[in-house]
Amino acid sequence: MKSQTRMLLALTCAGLMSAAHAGSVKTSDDDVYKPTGKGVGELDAAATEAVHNGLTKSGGGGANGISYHGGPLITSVSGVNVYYIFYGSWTSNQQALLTSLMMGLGGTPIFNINTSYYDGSKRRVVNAVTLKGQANDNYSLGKSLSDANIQTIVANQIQAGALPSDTNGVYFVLTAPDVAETSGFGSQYCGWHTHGTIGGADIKYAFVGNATTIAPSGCGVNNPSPNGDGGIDGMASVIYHELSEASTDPDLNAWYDRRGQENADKCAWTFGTTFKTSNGATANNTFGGKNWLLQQNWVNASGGYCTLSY
Amino acid sequence: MRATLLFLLACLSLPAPALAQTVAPDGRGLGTPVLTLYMKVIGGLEQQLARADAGGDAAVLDRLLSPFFELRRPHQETLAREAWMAASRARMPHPEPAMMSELSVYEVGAEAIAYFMLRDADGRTRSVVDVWVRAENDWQLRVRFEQSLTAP
Repeated sequence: MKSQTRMLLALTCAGLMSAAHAGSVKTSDDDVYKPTGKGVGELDAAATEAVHNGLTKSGGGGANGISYHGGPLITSVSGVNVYYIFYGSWTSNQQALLTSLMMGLGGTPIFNINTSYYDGSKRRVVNAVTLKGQANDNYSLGKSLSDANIQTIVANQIQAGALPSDTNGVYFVLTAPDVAETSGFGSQYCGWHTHGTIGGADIKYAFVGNATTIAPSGCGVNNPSPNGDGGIDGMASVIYHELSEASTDPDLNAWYDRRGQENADKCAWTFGTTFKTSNGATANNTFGGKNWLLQQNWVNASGGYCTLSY
Repeated sequence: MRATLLFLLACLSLPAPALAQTVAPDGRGLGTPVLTLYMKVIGGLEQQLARADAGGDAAVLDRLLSPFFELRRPHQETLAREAWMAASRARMPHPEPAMMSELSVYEVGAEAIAYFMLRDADGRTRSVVDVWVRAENDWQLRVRFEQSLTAP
């Protein structure tokens, strides 16, 4: 075996092993999880002990299968603000598609599902979404990004003045197909959201990658797809997923169930009633003059259920 | 497929200390992810398989294991499909299903490669790489590579 081949093999194996540290599959029905950590959830030791001691009840959590844990939601009367950062090589058509998604999402029946979530003062998420800004990043941190790099990419845009600092906003780092996110993009997840302190402000941000290269089947890259670009159409559903969760659980301490699943997690990869578009693709939503295939979301009412509208 | 198998065999042939040195998680571990469809589907199949193996459920094992399934361990140790199923049935009393953790599922062409840890009820832990192949509208396990991480 040539030394170069051996090195490649060792590096690839190393990647296989190190990535295993992220997710886990839970098996105990009495354990309680919270949505921190790169997995379905992380064991909440105090809550689990309470359940095991009979102090609280295990189960889906709340009458609707999801519980409020006291943290804030994005309940601004003007709705949720969104910022896009296109990382790497993007065509203008690709950017325009995702712009159409966000320009049309506010006011739709599918985003209205998030209005079934409220904070301790009964303030609800508003069915309005505004795409407030967009920026481009030409591979400033290379093609292999860590979780910390994602926050840095957001911080760089804010600190450079390209995007404002907005605590009612969700900043999406959207990566091109040749960009890896090394904590498990494609092997564990298609995207994620979190929050962090940037310039003294609590900034909510998300990562969503174009999975055309790394995980087309696992991240919903369809062919044909509603708008003729399977990678971008696949990202649309993941963006909707993350925006729903970032609105109802922005600081990871608001709405989630006992397994650590937030609202959209509970309905991931289910699409409800679909229809065929003129190009033969499968879709389930029409807004902004385009068809979309978006996953269902969990309604926090009537016992809780997955649906496409509320 | 052949290249994939050779690659995975080579991975398992690496000495354990070398693998340990490569375990360097990102460390931040923030946020909540959209799990891939493969994590959902293959993760579910792995849990079914663990339960069927522990319970000696021949019908489920027959459905989940490819006709050419084999279990590979270091030092050329191989267990064929029928032998694995017989060992599962013979285990009495049936143990608790092994606990699975640290799952990742890689999409490699038409195959799905799952990597995870299995911890038996007695605390023994194995590192496992499973190769799942399409079988009509479902998946079947073609080959499992496993290595004990517990000192004998």
